[in-house]
Amino acid sequence: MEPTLFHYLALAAIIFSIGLLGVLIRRNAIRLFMSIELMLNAVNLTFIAFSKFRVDMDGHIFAFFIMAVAAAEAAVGLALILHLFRHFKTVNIDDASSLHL
Amino acid sequence: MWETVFFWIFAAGAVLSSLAVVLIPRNAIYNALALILDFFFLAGIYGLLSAHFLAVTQVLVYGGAIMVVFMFIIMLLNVKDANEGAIRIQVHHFLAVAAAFSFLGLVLGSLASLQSTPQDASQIAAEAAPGQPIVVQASSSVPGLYSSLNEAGLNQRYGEVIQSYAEEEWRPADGQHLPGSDRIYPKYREFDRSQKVVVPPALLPAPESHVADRDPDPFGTIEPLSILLVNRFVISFELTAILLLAAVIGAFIIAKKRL
Repeated sequence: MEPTLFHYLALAAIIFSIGLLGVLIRRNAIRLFMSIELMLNAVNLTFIAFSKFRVDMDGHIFAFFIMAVAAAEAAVGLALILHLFRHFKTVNIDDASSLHL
Repeated sequence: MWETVFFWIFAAGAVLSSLAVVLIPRNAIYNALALILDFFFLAGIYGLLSAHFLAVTQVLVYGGAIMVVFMFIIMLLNVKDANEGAIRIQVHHFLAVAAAFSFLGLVLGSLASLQSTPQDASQIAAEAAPGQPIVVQASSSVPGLYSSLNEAGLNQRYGEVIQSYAEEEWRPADGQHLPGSDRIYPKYREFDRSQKVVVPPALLPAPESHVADRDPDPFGTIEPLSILLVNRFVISFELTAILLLAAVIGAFIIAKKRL
């Protein structure tokens, strides 16, 4: 069966749901970031699938910008995790519930 | 045929490695390795969708740059997951699984219902009763955006004006009111043949040799992407540069010993 737009969108939805599950059940900040990357990738897949089936390159541009934003987010987020670990000696986000520095 | 085979291989690999990212307990290195595998499978799917440039970028940026930073942080912090080693099943885990599954069901259900609705004008025309006028929405609520601007929609929108041209009730050059609107069209300016017309180089047709060298189907390659990137999306492109600069400076400042 030739893959249609429906197949690609369903695959993206499945990957996004797995990422959502990871964000909800994991309490380790690093794993949480990985799940967020997973969700960003699923959204990228949606954009590229729509781009292909509409024969319109705009979706590729959006996916490209999402990649740039993901790179920036990873750099800042991991710096935040590093700081969190220095301060609380843990990366469990439930333990880091205090606003006090 | 091969596209189908590779799609199912890549799709199964992507789903399994995504599950591995979320579900492997203990050491976070295994999750990171599974995430790299997932990025490679997704790059394969981008290749199937003829997004060649983005497939390469996915491997370089995600599989290379971002995952190196992840690995670095995991090894630097060397976090032993004392509480996550054996997953203690709690109430919120059931709630999380229920939420993820209901989200998935919602999306797949709406996709299935979208799949059964007519998509383009030919399908609408095929499903309409013979002899009945077809009404197609020609404009969207967003200004400047026209959804399904097809023949039926155009005819519904401009049919009256074209009819009045054909019956010579009025011409745009007369400077009259357009029927049904208060807009006055000016007379055309006389064309001055003594003046030389300069065509900007961008409007000139490309040289023949250039056209022959070109890829017959450039969709997804770097050429149309770069043309879009430095024309229509040039402001977003420049803003991305500022964003990356801000991210680099922010990461430096946040990661310093004393905030």
